Amino acid sequence: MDRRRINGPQRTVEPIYKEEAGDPFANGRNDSRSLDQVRPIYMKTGPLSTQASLSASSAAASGSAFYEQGNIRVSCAVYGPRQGRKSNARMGIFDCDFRYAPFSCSWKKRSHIRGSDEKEISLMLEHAIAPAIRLDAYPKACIDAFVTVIESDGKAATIAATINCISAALADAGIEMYDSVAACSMGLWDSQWVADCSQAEENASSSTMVVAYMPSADEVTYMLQHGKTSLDQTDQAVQTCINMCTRVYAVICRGLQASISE
Amino acid sequence: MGNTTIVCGIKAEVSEPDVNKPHEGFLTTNIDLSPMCSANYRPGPPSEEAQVCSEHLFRLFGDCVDLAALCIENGQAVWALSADVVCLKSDGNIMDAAIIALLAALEDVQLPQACLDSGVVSASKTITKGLQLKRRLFPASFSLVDAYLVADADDAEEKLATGSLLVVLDDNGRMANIWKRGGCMDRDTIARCVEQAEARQSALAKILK
Repeated sequence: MDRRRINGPQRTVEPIYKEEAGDPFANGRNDSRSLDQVRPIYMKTGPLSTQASLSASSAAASGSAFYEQGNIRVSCAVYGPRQGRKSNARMGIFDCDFRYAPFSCSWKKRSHIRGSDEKEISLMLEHAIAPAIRLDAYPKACIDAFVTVIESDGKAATIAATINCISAALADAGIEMYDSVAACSMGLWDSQWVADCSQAEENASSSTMVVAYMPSADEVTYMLQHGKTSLDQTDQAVQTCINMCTRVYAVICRGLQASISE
Repeated sequence: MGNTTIVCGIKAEVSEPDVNKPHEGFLTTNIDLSPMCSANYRPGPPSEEAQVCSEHLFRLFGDCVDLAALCIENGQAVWALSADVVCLKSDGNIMDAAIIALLAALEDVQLPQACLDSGVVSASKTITKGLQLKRRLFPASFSLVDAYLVADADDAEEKLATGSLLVVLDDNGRMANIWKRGGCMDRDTIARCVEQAEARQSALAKILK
């Protein structure tokens, strides 16, 4: 009983849907992509509306980005560099706050209180992106990234999309970075790695892999694998992911260039 | 609206109805003002402003939706709609944007056709029915900055405002809600605001068609 919010009934359940969820890979993929094709990406940094305000509010974020990849929609705002908690720190701190909107997930209605998976993903994002930021250029400062997933379609794919979104927002905020981090996810279905799985495809797959990569520095910043795979399969997945990350990176860079030239 | 960006999503789940109202479903409205939208908000539980906004939205939309239409089986199963308004970017005038977003979301709701048999509610994803709203609400906010009346104030203007007025009209032009906060406003000013709110109402009605 959350006293600070309007509460509905204590217990709610999803109804049981009569239609059987068919095999998502039965006749090629649902949205007719090839197995190694990532969903189309749309990205916008800065204010979402085209109307520029005459006086930028002092409480506005330093940088922000809205990122769409198929049905995944993520919005990120970056504040900083601003005063950090420790005044004697030699390096800056990068903090990430990740949350799902209550209506974002198809598998259940999320409660407003942050769950442990959201806290885990916040930590994952920090580990994935902090190596790319020049934290030694911001002593005593802290850089905060706040991410909200408006719509999620595939847990691993959402994490990858979030990493891309935060990279774009950090670039929009003008934070010094070694390189932008591009991330990609794959799912293992029937011994084949399928790129960028939607929720239905992920439910049907036996393993998922998320890789975050810095193409210019040729370094993997983060790798997460769930499920059962053999060593060869994992190896193959990492290689394929790195190739796809390079392609996603090109899209992000083009998006950032377009926003500067506007 | 300008630099204020708000997203509203409605999730429908099934629950048992309230014992005192066995034929009525539930609609809960909550607004989430996170540190993402503006540096004014701290992380953590909802601030007072968020709680006040949520409560106001709940009171406004409480009688807009016909709760009896959310009933699946009298006394046993009803739809519980939870409407969540997430603010992505706040540049003032969150109430207006939230009301418009919530209205648009409610009009967009497609409830699956559900039936209860042997204690289990089964629903069909393909056969859906929209929600019939009893009335639609159109807001208009005004702020009083010194002696000037400012419509749709942005963040900088709101910080300087001494008073504010929210007028909500329904689709027949009748007053659904007036909420005045802060300093003194004379009656002529309020009458002027209501007139402008009527103009805004017709403009919004065209956009939300």
